[in-house]
Amino acid sequence: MRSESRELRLSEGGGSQLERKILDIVAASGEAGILQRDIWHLLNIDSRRGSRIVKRLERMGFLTREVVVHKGRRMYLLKPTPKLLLVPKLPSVLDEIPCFYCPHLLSCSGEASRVLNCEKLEKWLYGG
Amino acid sequence: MSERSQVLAALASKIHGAVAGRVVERLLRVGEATDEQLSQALGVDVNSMRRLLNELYESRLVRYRRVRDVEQGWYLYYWRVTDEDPARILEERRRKAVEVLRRRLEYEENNTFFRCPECGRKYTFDEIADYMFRCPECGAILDAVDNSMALEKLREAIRRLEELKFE
Repeated sequence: MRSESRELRLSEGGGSQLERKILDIVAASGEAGILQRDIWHLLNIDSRRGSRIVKRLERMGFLTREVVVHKGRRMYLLKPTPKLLLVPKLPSVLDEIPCFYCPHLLSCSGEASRVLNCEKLEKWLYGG
Repeated sequence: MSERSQVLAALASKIHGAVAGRVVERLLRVGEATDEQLSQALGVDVNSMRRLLNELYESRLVRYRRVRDVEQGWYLYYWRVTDEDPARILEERRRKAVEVLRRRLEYEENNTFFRCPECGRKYTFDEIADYMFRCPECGAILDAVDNSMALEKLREAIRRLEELKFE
């Protein structure tokens, strides 16, 4: 069964490009945020499709939606969350641990025999 | 492409080498490119570039869309950087690395090992019990392996990986 967190991945295919673009715009808007409506204009997408994506990104914790009144009309102001603004880094500790940067990691973790017979791991454990 | 995605170029470089890092950097800049365009831009022969792109695909760092060239009849592959959240990719690798190291730790904890001083082959107790502790390959008397340092290394690596948080 697929877990909830897996279901809330950024989607694959055409929609994902749009998600990325929206996230980039919201991230660039900083603390001031950006009106949801302005994103539709910038990306030339219709509000129905856009709203669906934005709601999804909100559920994933990348942005918040606040209701604001702008020129007498209620609309959403989108702001980036710390999660979106956090720039992932590669900690130096990873250089000291084999496996993390191994090109075979994703296939290896499914095969017990590869883990037990891995030359790279053997060399790290016993030297030589 | 956002600053968040820049880490993917560094990751590609660490996993698949400097050229891979440059491929991802270029794709982040231009959005999408064919293997031939990348090959020309980076001065790498097209076969090596295709092999590299496939490796990057296996590591889930790039994706492609395939388009049939109507005139020539063959397929063109347009490559782009993955749409997955970079933090999630790092988290997935962290989790898998812990899984691998835990499996190896279990193996090291549950076995007694012997090494041949002549040919360097390593055996478990079960593998050489029937050979009277002589190397099945060269006949030399085997030395017992002290794996206490290896166990310590594995435990420490698992602990340090478990402390990391990417998401």
